Amino acid sequence: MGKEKGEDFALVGGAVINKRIRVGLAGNPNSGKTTLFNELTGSHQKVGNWPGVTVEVKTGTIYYEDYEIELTDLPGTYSISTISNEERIARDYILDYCPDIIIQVVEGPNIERNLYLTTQLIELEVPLILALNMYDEVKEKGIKIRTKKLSALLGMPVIPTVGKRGKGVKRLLEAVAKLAGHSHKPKKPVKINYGHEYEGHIDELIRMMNHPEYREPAYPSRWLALGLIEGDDYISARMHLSDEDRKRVMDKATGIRNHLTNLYHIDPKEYIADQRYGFVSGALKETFKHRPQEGLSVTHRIDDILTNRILGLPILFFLMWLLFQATFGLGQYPVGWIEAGIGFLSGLVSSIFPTGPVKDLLVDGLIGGVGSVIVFLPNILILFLGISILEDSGYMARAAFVTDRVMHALGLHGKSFVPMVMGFGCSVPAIMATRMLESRRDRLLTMLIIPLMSCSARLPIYILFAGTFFPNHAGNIIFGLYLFGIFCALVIGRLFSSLFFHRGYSPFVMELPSYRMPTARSIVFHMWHRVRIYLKKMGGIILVGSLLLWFLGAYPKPPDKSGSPMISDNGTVVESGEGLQKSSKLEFAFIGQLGRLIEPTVQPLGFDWKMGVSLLSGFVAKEVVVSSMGVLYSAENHQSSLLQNALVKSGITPLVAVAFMVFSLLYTPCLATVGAIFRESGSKKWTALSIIYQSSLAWLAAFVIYQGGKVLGLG
Amino acid sequence: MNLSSNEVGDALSKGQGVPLSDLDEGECGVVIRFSTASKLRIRLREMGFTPETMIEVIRSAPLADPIEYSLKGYFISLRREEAKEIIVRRIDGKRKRRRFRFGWRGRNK
Ligand SMILES: Nc1nc2c(ncn2[C@@H]2O[C@H](COP(=O)(O)OP(=O)(O)OP(=O)(O)O)[C@@H](O)[C@H]2O)c(=O)[nH]1
Ligand SMILES: [Mg+2]
Repeated sequence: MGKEKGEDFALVGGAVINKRIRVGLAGNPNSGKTTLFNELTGSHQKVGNWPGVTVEVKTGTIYYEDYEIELTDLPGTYSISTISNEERIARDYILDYCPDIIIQVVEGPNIERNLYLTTQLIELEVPLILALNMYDEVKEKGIKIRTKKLSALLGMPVIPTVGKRGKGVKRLLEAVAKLAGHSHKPKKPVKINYGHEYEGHIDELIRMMNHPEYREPAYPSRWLALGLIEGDDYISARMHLSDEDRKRVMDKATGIRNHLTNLYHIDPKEYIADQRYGFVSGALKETFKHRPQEGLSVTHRIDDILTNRILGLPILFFLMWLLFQATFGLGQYPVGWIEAGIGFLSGLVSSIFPTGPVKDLLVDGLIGGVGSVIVFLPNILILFLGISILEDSGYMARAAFVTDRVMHALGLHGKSFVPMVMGFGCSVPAIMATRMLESRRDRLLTMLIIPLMSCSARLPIYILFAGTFFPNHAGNIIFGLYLFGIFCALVIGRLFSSLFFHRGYSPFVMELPSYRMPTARSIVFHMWHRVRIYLKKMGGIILVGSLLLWFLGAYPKPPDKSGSPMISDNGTVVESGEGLQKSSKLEFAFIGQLGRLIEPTVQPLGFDWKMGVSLLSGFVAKEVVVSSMGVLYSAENHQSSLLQNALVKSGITPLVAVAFMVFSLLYTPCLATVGAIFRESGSKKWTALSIIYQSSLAWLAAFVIYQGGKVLGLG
Repeated sequence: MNLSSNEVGDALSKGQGVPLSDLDEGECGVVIRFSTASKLRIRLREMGFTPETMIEVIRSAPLADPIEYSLKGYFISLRREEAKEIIVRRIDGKRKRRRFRFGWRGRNK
């Protein structure tokens, strides 16, 4: 493969020959592929210090010399022949897309296991470059790797890189260009020897497949033969043979497999894996020197505390608590400044524009709606800062390790914990991340409970309500909500796993990476990425939603009795009579009619119709709940005063506030999340279940809280 | 590199072969073979659990499961259930190390 493709050079502009080549970045999980991809292409794909961050194929273009390089970042894979979801994606790219060159990114300190994949790629006869990444750690650990010698032994360029600092990237590109230029020069291929008996049978199969009457195979015949002896199921479809001939070859292969199994008392696949490792250790014998370390590694020492028998779980709990406390506590200060700014802006607009619909639109619709959500940007940034530190440091894998026992007992999987933590940020990437789970059962279960993790879009609701009604305990109330979400997720997980799924076999095999210092750069990029998403949402869906809601609240106007529809808005306390008038105006408008329609369903929960409408609008995106309240409540009071005051005045009690927060926590995932669940599960049934169970759960929980609270005299 | 089934049988009957899950924290073992019940034997083989590979038990998780192991210079965690299917030869002379611990010593058997 690859060889036939070497010719697809394009003639661009008549004279300039722009050579187009396709290069794939493959390698074990967490070896730094995406880091190098970002360095090479200048993009900002997600990087994290745990295996399985990248779950889909990402492509970028680089121009180097006269080459146009299409570079593809792949999910990590330990082997071509084993299969988890994201590994299959990488395998299919390598086998079916036929890249011209593969750069295998290797985790330097962990080279032995990484080279296993190399042996498979060698057999595929793709032009290979080895990026010996994390070379900084190689040096730190006192490891000596003789790259020249290694390069000769493996028959490919070996280039030390430090992806994190962009070192060696240039040399990588040089190597790509050089290899692309020499793609037709025959090179003495490196061959892994499987011993006399095996080699005889490999040759036998090769002879069968290379029969002159057959079409030329698209893959190296030795690779096909090995795959057949290993019994890999994806091989047969890749042999370019007629059905009849294929069957002959397959039958022959089965015979050989049985023969070899009986001869060596070991599955050929295991035998072959052992030989490959034998080749690797042979190559490393002279090229890799590891000075035994004195004392324990830093990672080991950190883990002695973080995954300690007794402290492990409390520390996990404490870190979560810290994250949410910081989100609320530290976020408060900048929120105050933004609020002041928005108040000023709204005053300014009020004084500039003459009284009329334009001013109403700007003050009530735009500033009331978008402004009420944008103030929470600092909180959300702090939350994402915390999550990205968890992801970049390497703690995520430990969290999975520490919680696996509990999760397993609940019918879930330790690895489910990673997407669940990501769910505190946003459910959509979290649902994508479930691809790191091997079994479909675990994936579906995790997908169904991820929306119960309070995502950042629900944070504004909590901060608004907890801050307004429980000013002294807001941090703890919010933490309590997060805990309640996790609790519900675990209970629902347990319930669904026994209701809908058989307990399947899903092992917990997880690499625990070394701790790494998160770089400022990656964190800044991460933050910036979030800010952009947030602002885009503000300028898009939330803006449109607010204006739409304002319109629905302003029209049609009630039949005018007092003569003038204008009401003074000098910012003084609104008389109750005036407020009433304004409120009845809102009720007369479209929104009020809609509100009356849904009022009966939310009344038992203690919500008024405006809360009901806000929740309904929150289906689009949960931030919209707050922006809708901003529009509805500010329209009612017609004041530039804070939404907080408006809420207090509208007669919401702390009990109702709690019921409302719980409802917001549990009810239907937002549109984007529903879309993600549908895409990733590929099933309408599960998507529908997700919507239905969450809505019912939310309603029930809020009902119990409100009615129960009233009975206890809390209301 | 590979032990024949006879040798494995010998090793087991001499009491040398034990399931990996039986080793204590800090102990080392060398892989002999996988029990046939292991559904993971291919995957783990490919991740480096080949015969004669030295494996060190690093620690078990707070609730005694899963367990962290080290081999070929990296760290991996397996559930006890899975580690049970890997038969190892215990290496004498447990590595004595002063370790920072709040907990009690491993109580696996
Ligand atoms: N010390 C050091 N760390 C690095 C280097 N390159 C990458 N890292 C870190 O290694 C971790 C993994 O990097 P990624 O780029 O996400 O790895 P990946 O191969 O894309 O991982 P998956 O997508 O999970 O397969 C991150 O924490 C990086 O910051 C390097 O050269 N030196
Ligand atoms: Mg990646």
